[in-house]
Amino acid sequence: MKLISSLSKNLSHGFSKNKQAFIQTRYGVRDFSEKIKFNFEDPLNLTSLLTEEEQMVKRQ
Amino acid sequence: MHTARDYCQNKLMPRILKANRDEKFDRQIMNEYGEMNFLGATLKGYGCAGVSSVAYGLIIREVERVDSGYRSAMSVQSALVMYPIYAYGNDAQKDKYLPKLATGELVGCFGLTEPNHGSDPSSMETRARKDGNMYILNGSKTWITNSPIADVFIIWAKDDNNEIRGFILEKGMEGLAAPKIEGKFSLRSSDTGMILMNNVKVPAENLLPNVKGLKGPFGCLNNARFGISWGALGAAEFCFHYARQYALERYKSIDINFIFRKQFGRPLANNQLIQKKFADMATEISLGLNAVYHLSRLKDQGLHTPEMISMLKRNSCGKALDIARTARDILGGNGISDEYHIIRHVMNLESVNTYEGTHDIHALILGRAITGLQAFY
Repeated sequence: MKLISSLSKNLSHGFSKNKQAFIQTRYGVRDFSEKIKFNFEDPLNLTSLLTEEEQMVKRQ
Repeated sequence: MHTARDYCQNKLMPRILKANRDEKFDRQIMNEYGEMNFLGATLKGYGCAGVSSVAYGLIIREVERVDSGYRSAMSVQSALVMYPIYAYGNDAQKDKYLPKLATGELVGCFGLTEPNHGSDPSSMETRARKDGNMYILNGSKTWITNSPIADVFIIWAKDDNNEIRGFILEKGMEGLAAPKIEGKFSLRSSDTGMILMNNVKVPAENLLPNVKGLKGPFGCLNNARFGISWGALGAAEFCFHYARQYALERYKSIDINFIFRKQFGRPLANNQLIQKKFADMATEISLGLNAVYHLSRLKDQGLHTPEMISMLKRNSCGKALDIARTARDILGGNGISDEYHIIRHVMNLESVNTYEGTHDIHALILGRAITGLQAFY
């Protein structure tokens, strides 16, 4: 269970910088992520439609 | 600066695993929601934030990104307790209840569903008999979020004229009980219970004076459904992002000697079937978010209709459930462990797809609007 927690924690920390290099050296997989401007978290750029207040969803 | 996302990720996320396992809601969270001005956020005055419907939706999305149970506790308070007092109550009722509900000092619940009447609330059996300057309430409600911890109960009952009316009940009234429903496999982080009323004497001044009939509870439900249309997509986003990260990084588990399978010698994310799933997830989430954004702007201009809300509540819930199930599939066996969170979202979304109007009931609402023919009965 501790190992699962550890892995789970790692997974929630976002991409590691070593990931791209690791993929390329170990598997020879070409990585396109540096060249792509598409934001998978907001594909249609909804954020651009929000007011400044809404973007922050801040304490009033 | 306390952003909603910061609060949810830093304060709620660390608690959810244990809360879900123990089936226990931390009452303190309601006070934290109050401090963050999350409660009744779109209402003006009474200590409420008065934010736009988009901002409200964004808050709900962030809370449900953590857990639908945490979001349920919040949106019941806002849409189903504070809103009816705000919209249908008199000034004395607003002054008495809204400021304390806004801070989380009081917790409220909403009693409409009954053991024998879920999707058909017009057949409710709960009665409110007038007796001098009191109403005597008898009946039972079930599947009531927050009822075991509630201080304030918004109860819908039929009066002597067979009209549905709303009443404000308070914890401690004689004959009023709110036992917890145990053993849920969904929304385990929020308390759900029944409301049992046995000759509860309610002062006539606790009647919500400004609404009669089903439009009372339905007006509340429309607001709650609107929030769900945002929230369900927050849960879907969590599942999508988590599965994506997992599919990209699973091969790294080789380095920590935990799992030795290579997944055919490359990251899961490098497979066409996985990428197709991600393309579908990203598309549905993005279309859904843009739709609820548009609806929110219409809502703030008074240009929305209940059918619009039905369409997007139904779409968001159905798509979120499908996305969560697919994300669970991508995680393979790990997907069923609560430490990976996705199975919890799957179980939660089964409820979210059902409550506040089931997927099928919203289809009938839309079908009636499309054809002009009601097919409820």
